[in-house]
Amino acid sequence: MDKSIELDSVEKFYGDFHVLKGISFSIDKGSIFAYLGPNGAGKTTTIRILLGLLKPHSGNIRINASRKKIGFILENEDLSYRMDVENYLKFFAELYGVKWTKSIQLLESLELEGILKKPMSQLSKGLKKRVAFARALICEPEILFLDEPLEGFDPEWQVKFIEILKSLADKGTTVFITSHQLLYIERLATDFGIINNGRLLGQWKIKEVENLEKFYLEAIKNA
Amino acid sequence: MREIISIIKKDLRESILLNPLQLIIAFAIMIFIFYSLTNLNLLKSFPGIQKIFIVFETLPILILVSLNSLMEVFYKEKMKRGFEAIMATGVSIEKIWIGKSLAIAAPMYTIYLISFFTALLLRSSSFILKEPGLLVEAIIVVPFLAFSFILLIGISFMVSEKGRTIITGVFYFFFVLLFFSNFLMKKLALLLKTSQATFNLLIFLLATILIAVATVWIKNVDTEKIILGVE
Repeated sequence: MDKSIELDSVEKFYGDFHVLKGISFSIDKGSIFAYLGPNGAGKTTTIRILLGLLKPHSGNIRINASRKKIGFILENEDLSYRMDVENYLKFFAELYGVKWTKSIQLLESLELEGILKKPMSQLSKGLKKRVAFARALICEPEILFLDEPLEGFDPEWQVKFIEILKSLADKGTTVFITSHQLLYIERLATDFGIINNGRLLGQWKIKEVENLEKFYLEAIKNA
Repeated sequence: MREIISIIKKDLRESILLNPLQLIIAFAIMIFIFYSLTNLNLLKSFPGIQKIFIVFETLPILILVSLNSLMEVFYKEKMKRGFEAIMATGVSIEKIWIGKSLAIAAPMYTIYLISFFTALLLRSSSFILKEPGLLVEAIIVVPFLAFSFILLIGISFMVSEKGRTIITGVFYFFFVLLFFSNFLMKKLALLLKTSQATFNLLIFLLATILIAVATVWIKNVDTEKIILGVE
């Protein structure tokens, strides 16, 4: 099967702090890979390296997609802009080099048509997250990097979000997601990896595991 | 180029058009300064001071009125992790920096020109119109120097973890420069007994050197500082 993402022995330091200790994994095209781990384990650093925002100190990375075909949701991003939703999304459409008119269907699926003229700063946390999701999808991504995307969504939208991601994966989009919400991850992901203290404990198929939460807690405890 | 234009449009909308009060304040301050600047009879007794007077009065004003935009466009964007989002689409840090700096400089320069020529219109005659060298200094050379400062301050906001310290430092530096301008100008006028053309060239060279320094700085900037250095 074609690989979308490959990491080989990736190391990263912040000063003296060893953040990533020889991370290696590969992700098949069209799969939904959940990258799990406690806070401070190195998940966000891995995503930043994969997005090309940070350089690893050593190791190899292979991303099988054009930079303009990679969508993302970043952790702790503050979308409190004065501009309205439409202008914000148009800005990213321009950066990606895609036509704004192509995004109408996307806005409908995320139920954003009604708030296009609303200033971003007036949106609730959940709506901001939906806008961030629209931004991630605007480039018709081949790969999606989603850092804690479920935070801020209400249960109804968490379910819709999962459905949208599954349908994207069916069409060939590779999804790389971090989350602490293991119940949703169990329903969404096809594969997962666990990282603890910068070390990858392993990579598994979701269907190999009976109870993800129990498996995760034991893996962290035994690490 | 398309990406730079998109960034200019976005920041113009975000920090200027949706926040027009700062433009009105900038216009009010500038017209006040230019009205006094365009009548320098009181300074004519002191030889060579006019060219220095223009730098000392307009440069601090241009920087001080741009400070709010600099804060919005660079400092707040960093705090919101906006740089990270733009860079994640594959846009280089140099393009972001140029786009944002132009988004600050372009409207301020427009306001500068409008208030300058309004002040000239309000006065029936001005010494500046009789001396093309001074006119070039006022509408081209000094704004170019101010732009070089905007470029440098912009990078400082991007890489520094002490954004608030920079804001305070820049504000006090240019405020003090303006406050002590009378004293400093008279000292400098005695030192810089150059022709107007040479003076313009010197200021232009200084701006070019500052832009070169800023360009080398941004080319070697550690993007980790931009991404991780959030206060």
